[in-house]
Amino acid sequence: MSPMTKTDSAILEVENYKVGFRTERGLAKAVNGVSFSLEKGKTIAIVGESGSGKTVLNRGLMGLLTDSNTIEEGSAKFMGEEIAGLSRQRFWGTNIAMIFQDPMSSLNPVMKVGKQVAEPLVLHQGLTKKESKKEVINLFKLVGIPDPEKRFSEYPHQLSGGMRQRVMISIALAIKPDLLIADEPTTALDVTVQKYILDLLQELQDERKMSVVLITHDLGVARGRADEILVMYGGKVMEHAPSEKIFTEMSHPYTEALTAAIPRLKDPKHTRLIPIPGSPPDLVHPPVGCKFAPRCVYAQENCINEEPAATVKGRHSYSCFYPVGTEKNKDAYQKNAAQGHTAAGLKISRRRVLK
Amino acid sequence: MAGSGKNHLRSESENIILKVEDLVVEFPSSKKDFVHAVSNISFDLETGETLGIVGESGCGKSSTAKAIIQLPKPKSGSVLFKGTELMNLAKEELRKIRPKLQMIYQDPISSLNPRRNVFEIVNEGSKIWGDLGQETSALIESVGLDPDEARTKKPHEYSGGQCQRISIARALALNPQILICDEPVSALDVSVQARIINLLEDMKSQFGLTVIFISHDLSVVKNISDRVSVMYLGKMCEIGDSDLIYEKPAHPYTRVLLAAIPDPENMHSGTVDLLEGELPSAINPPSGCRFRTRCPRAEAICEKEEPVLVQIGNEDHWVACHFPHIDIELDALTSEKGEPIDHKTEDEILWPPAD
Repeated sequence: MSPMTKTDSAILEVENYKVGFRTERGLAKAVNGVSFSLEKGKTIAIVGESGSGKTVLNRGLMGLLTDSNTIEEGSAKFMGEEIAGLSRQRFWGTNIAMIFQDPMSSLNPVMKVGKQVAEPLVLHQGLTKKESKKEVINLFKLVGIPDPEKRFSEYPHQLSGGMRQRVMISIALAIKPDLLIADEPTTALDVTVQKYILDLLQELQDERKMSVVLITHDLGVARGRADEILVMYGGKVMEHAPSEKIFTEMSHPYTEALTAAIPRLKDPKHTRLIPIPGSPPDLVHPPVGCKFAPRCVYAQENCINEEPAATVKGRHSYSCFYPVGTEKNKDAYQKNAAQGHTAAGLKISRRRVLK
Repeated sequence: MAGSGKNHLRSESENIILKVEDLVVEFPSSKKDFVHAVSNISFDLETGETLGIVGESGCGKSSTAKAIIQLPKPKSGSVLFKGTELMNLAKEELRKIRPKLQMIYQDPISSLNPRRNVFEIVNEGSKIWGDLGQETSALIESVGLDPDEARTKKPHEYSGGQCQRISIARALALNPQILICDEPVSALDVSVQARIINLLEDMKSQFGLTVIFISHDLSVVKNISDRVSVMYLGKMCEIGDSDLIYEKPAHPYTRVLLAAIPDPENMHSGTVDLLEGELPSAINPPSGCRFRTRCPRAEAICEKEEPVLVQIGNEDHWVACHFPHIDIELDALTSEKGEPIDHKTEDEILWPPAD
């Protein structure tokens, strides 16, 4: 259980939340017991590789996974009301909004963008066509779309990627949501546009006291923008802490591995990057013990056989037997380095020294 | 930005494998209008060097790369590969030289033929050209894939990162001398990205490659490149040693790009404001310096006169700007009225003036 549950102002409380998909090979446990809570006006970033379950978690919470082969379990409370397993359509367009990853393919190509933004206003707030147009033009101004009157009657293909993402954001914001789920909102965009979009989201969030779930694979983006960071792997929470703590008191080897894989500006050119060995786990037959053990340089016997429980230290929690920065962790590494491989059989070459 | 000029070309070196001069790429947009994708770009490459090209989408970096391999033939300019002028070559001669210049594309999955098995894809080059000294199975193995599996599997059975490895193996099968990578890691996860970058570095030393690496991710470019070139709207703003460009960016545009990187240890963040507005149209680019419409330092001269690339100190660092950000002592060279130092004819330029 997360240390951050049970606060009065929580807008979203998720407890042991699970999403599974029935497949030919068996049940794929894409989200396997996630707990967190998000306060009003705060941002939580969910970080992990592809296949870690971050997108499924949020699509599940949003109520987009209603296929008969999808199983949703556990509890998720939105503004105190249980929503898991129930229809969430009444929240769409009123309380919860989502920005999808790919701005190119999430807009209707044969509908003018202005009309697409006006849709929720007409449907949910009962505005007339004229009123909604005025409101859309205001929104376009707010998100920094130049020439809003002209853009109103353009089609998505006439806009650049950055502009299309701004249109997506204005759709999401049109209804003044309490909760905004942003799934990799800037991954497909240039750095300068990325910064603009993230700054814009933050500004609007402060203004409207909106809560944001930000899904990203970039820890750099998460650090600057989120109040808390939740690191996911194989459908589980590996580490969860206030955003700065993740970096200053990094405890989980997976968080460390994610950080080491990113090229850093301050490193000289041709610095060798340290990729995470192996590949994400099979969700139908996940590892018995710690999900990350097969790829972890510190893995010992007990990591393979036993799943570590969450260690909670104030607002910081992590699930690992050999947390980074402890004596136990150093000993585990020494032992693996001496025998040349981890308990899971991962080879350790002398070059792979993280510190 | 903008700069033309050829002072930065290292004509004295005998090691130059590729020399591009005054490259112009234009695409017709209507009967009389042209998109000026690349305007008067010059650069050179030494054998074994990696040149990174960075810039926002639409700045002409991909057009530059494609123009080198004459896809399509640029409008004017010179592309000299080992003393052979590619611009004048007949179709058949060009075909014969193309194996030496190979390209890797952004989207790994759509750049592989979905109906052929991976072994065939990698082997196709040697089938056409005869034995080029690369054994296909050994190549597939050297990029970290199983050659036996490759004989039975098609691209869709591999992940994005693996498909990018296949693209690399396919390019290397032709024993190229120059490898042009157009955003090879933009579609990949951080951990996979690290592996592909390491693989490129390994392959570079193993095969003695010269690399052109295009990306909008500046941290990645910094890591892999010896020299970096910054492009804006079809012009080159700044070129030079990658450490120098990242430590002492001189062009206002380079500073904007660097400041936007979401790296928590980014020493440039917060140093400059973000750009206003969108990239101007490449059909009617601004006169003088093309960056002036969005540049915080722009003055009257920027509209009239196009800056040329000038050297900073005696280092491998060249900038095309009337008001570059350079060290205080060099700033003193600018008169109090903010007039730039006189540099009307490019041959006379010495920056700083020699004692």
